[in-house]
Amino acid sequence: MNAIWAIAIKDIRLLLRDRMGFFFAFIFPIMTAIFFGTIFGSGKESDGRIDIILVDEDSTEGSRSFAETLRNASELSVIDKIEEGTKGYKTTRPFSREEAETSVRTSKATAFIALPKGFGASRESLFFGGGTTIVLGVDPARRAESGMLEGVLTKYGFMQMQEAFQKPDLMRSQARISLDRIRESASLDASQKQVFEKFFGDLDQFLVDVPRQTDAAPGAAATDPTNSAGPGGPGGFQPITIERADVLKPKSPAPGGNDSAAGVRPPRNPYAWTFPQGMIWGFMGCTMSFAIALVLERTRGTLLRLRVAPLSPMHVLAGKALACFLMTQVVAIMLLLIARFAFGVVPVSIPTLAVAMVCTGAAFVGLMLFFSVLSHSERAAAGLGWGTMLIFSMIGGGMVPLFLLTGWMRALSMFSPVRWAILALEGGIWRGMSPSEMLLPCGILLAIGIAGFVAGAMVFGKAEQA
Amino acid sequence: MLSLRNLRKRFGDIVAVDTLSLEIPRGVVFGFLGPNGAGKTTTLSMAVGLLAPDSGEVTLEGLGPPTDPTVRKTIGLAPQASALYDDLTADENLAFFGRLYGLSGAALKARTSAVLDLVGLSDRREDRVKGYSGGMKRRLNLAAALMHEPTLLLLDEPTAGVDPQSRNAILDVVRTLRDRGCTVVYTTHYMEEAQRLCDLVAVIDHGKLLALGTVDELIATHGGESVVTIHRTTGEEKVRSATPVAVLSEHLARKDVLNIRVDRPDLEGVFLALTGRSLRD
Repeated sequence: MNAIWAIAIKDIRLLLRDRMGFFFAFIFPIMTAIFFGTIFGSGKESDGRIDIILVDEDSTEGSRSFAETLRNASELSVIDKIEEGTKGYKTTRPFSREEAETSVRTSKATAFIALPKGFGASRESLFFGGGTTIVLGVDPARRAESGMLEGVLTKYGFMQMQEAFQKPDLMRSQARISLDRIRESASLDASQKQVFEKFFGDLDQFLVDVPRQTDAAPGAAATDPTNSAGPGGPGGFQPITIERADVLKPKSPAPGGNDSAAGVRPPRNPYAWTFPQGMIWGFMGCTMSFAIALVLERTRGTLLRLRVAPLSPMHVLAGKALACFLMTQVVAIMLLLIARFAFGVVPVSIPTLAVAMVCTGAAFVGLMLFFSVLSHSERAAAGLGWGTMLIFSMIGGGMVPLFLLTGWMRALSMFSPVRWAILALEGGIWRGMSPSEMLLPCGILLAIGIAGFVAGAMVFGKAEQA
Repeated sequence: MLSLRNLRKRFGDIVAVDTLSLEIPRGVVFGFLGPNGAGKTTTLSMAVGLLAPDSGEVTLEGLGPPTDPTVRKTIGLAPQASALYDDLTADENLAFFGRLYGLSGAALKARTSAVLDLVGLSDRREDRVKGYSGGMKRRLNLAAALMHEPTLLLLDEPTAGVDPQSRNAILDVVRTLRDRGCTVVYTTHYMEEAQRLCDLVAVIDHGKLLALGTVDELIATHGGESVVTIHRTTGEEKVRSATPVAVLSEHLARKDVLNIRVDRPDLEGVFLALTGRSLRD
């Protein structure tokens, strides 16, 4: 163990004295975090379809109709069924609201839309009652899409209302339902009831006389009320009320956490999701510095000394791995401290974040060993390592946020450790992911770390005996 | 001390070491000579356990093979390249290599000071290696191999490319180590150096042992005759003889002799006689 420590301390000392390595491990990640944080602070928009989970809790004709409208919406990619069962026998069922919230919290979908109980009934009593409410829960990291979703929902709310106006029989039926409820209402006095009765009487007559040609060929502009300033447009009246759901549920203070973190809500601070990106760059900087350091040991002959010493190849690799791991943690902690004290980012759970940092560090150490044993020159190690890392970063959300990527690139991101690392780190910083929710990203990261170490040890052992 | 028995190593179609056997006694400086590609480095690599022989056996003092960590603790290696960390100081380099062999605390400090003193670098111990001259790096390279007080030291061309001062310093250290009972296996292309330093010399080529013995034995056996060059008023005469003293006596009596020079056969002559004069790449 002393020899492993000796190798680790020596390697850390060498990294700290290497200006370029120090820059990529420490300075560049900070620059990245601040740069992206500033960009996101000024807002950005997505031009792709937004993936949402739809939960129909009402299951009435009205809610089904609206759900169908959303399914056909060009702006949305709707998932409304969850798959269950084993490989041979799979079934599907609708999402519950809790499952939808969990999926959004763990970044599996951008948002969820729930049509709550009473949705259909409220649409029938269009002119009187509590109004039509839709519950919308958006991943706080997707702030750009949040406003867009509200606009999309409002648009389809208007479209449905317009369709109703184009069907006078349906409209008359809704007017009568509203009129009956007004007559039964105890909260209205006689004079108010009289006003409403006159209004609905006139409306009923209007709907009888309404020109039928509107059914024949509605103009393109009229189908999109949000583009129209005419009647039916959004002049103050909203066809639906959007109730925002918080996908990050308030939690009791976690052991080791701080009180102010309890119940911390979606990060209004853009640095909360750019510092995980910065941490990833720190991890990558350390990984590459140590990968090249191992190649340098070989090309400069110092590896020969290590091999003649009473050490096994596993000792040498373990020393390298320990140094790299310790440095990744130092870089991550340093970035966290800067995020906390310079940019006001408060992690929601320190223990969860610690687990994420350890797992991410393990994954990148595995990658470091793998890159270093495959390369026989510094140039090869740098090319192979940075090339792979940049691809991982591009498809995994290390450079550009995942929601800005196209669908196939998002699917490809499943193969990038950067994606899982960012998710795990966000889980501790602001997502407030539960231990069970952390299992998947952390499990994948640990598996990458172990696979990299085993593969590295095998290749290293063989190469050294050749 | 070091026993190599019927070692054989092949790389593809090339036989690098071909049934080589050597017994190197304790407390000697053993010169291991051969042209480029003769199989010296492969033999040394097998001797320290870096390479596994295809056949044959390596043992140290009856302890066992050099792959055994206990046996490795008795071996020191100074590779041909300066195997040091340029961004560390001499102190830090030596401390690191010492820790690999289990040294720590006061013992580590004392040993570091001792070897720095031995190679004459005490006053530069706090300087980073990247500021060292070639000769200083060579000396520190040797010092790193001595940190754990090995009983068998392998030096691969330790004086290549250094100035005469550093070369003399390194040769002095090697003699000191021999006097303390350390066995030194020394490879070099400087024949004069080997002749001055080595108690025993082996010459190998194409992976085979060509000759083994003391310098005098090798010269006597393979060096050929001395050459006596006589400068007279009438011109120059060269006489080859196994008994140059007799030739001297005969010519000194003559009055027309201006100068006489005797060139005794040396190790370089032995080396060329054994390995030929064709170029090796």
